[in-house]
Amino acid sequence: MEKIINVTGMHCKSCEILLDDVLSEISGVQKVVTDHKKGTVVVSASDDSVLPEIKRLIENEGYKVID
Amino acid sequence: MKETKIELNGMSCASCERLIRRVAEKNSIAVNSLDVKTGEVVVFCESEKLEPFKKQLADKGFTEKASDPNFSRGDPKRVKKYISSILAADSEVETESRLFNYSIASTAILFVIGGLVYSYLIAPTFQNAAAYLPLFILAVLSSVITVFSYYHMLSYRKNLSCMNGMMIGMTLGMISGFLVGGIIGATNGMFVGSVAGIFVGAVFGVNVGKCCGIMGALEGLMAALMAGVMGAMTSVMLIRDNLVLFLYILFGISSVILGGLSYMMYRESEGEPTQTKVNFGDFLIEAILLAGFIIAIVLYGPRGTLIYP
Repeated sequence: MEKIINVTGMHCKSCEILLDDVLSEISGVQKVVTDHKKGTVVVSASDDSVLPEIKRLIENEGYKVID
Repeated sequence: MKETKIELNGMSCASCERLIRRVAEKNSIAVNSLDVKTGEVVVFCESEKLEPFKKQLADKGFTEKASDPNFSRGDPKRVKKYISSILAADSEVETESRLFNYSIASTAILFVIGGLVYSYLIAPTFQNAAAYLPLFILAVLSSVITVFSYYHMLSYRKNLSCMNGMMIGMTLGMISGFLVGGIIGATNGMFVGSVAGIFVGAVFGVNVGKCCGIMGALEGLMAALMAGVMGAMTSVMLIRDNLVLFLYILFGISSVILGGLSYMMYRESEGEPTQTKVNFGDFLIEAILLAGFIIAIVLYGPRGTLIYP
């Protein structure tokens, strides 16, 4: 499963690395690609059940998920 | 266990701080203090944990600053290294090198265009054309350094603090206003020179200063107001006293000031530009418009009573 999540609040490379780092630790997440210029987080995971946790952790770091 | 201070490159924002603290936490290292502006991180841990910690930070883009005392803050060798990096087109100063190349190319193109216009249009038509020539050259050079500084400041402005925003608004508003006010004040008098200097200074000063909000914009406007008038007044006062020489001295000092400001922004932002890259076409058009504006007023603008030559 691959999901593109739109995120606001990212403004630099560090934001990308931070989210990559945080989200990669979630069980079931295989790959995370973050792009601060596009404002996207592309997540590859085993199934959809990790999405709520992904969104929670993104917002925990101070960013906003756009549905 | 002991306290160690590490100086890092690459820190620019709260995300950097969170990332570094996260890496420290994973390594069971306590962070006693962290300053994003200076890049200083003070940690408390066993000595053997430091190198792996630094390596992990380097993998994430936070390299340790060189401990060479020759490159401490305020050392002129840092400036020399910055300039030589630009001339060598090093990747770490990609924005600066690109803008520098745009400036050289724009200056050359403007001189070619200006030479043709002068030879075929201005010299046959205007009685004092030869006397104005040094001022036309100065108009071209002033336009290029103004546009260079403008785009350089735009490249970094999202990373700058409010104080820096106020400073760049003030400086560019002042320098561009002073130069334009000085050139046009010389040939058209105090009133036209002041208005033109204020206008140009405000356009550039407000646009770069507004990155930090109303204060930066107001700093740009206030500086433009003061500098436009001062530039025109200075020229009128020096009408019969080495005016052209003084204007070139003014240009030289202004170039040093704008160069120093650019260096400051590069250091404050750790060389990480934050804006979309400008293309050569936009750079050239703005330089042509500014130089054309100045020269058009010099040739066709209303004249005051006390003017050059």
